[in-house]
Amino acid sequence: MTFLKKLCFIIIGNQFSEKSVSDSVHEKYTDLELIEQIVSKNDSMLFGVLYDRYSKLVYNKCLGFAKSNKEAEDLTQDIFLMLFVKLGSFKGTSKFSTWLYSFTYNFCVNYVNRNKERKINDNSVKFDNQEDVPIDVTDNLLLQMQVDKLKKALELLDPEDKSILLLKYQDGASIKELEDILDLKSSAIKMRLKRAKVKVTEIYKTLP
Amino acid sequence: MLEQDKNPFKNLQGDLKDVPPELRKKVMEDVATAKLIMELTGLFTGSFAAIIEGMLKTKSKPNKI
Repeated sequence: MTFLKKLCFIIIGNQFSEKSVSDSVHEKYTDLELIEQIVSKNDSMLFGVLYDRYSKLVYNKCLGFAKSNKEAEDLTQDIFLMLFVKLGSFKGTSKFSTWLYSFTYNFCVNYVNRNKERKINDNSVKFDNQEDVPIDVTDNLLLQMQVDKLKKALELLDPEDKSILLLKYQDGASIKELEDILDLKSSAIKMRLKRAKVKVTEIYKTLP
Repeated sequence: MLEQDKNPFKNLQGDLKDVPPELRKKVMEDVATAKLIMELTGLFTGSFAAIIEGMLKTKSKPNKI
């Protein structure tokens, strides 16, 4: 009986120590290593490690597109579910964080656009003359913007333009990374950025 | 390249808000269900191509010399 008890304690003890060792090993994985493990084994427990690394950032990005904390929570839940299904499509050509932010923005943009009732009611500023971009907004001009006013301007901007600006200036994605993520040529990326910068500057100027 | 401390885009979010702790459980439950569905789907659809290919394949007779 005592031997059995001892054996049980040893087994339970081993399981706990294995768990703590494996947890610390998982924490040392790079994003790419972790993703390879998740995809090859379809491991939902390892996916929890990825969730712990990025849930806060994804949730806060969702807050920028959602109207309430509950909405952001639902968006985050859906994004992580979709991420588990689509994780195999990450090719490693860009940083995982940049890819994930793009994934998040795409999901949020689709959500905002799908919500037609909201689209009608919101105050998105539309520009008819999108082909004619008369001025070039420099990065220095963006630098001088006040945070509060910029936040309001971004709320009024089309979600597609908002997401490319955030990817470039908040998440630090390079043109090359944007090319890979958005599957567009660099000239198209630059044009989209240029238009988005012009639009946000125009809206910014109209704010009190 | 914009300097981080001067870049207003970097300061848009302010202090990051914490994720509600109950969300992790919801996500992991969703993921477990998705995994089950993916594995069940794999059982029924995975080998269709191979089966059809096998049915259509004709055995090549060895050449008699």
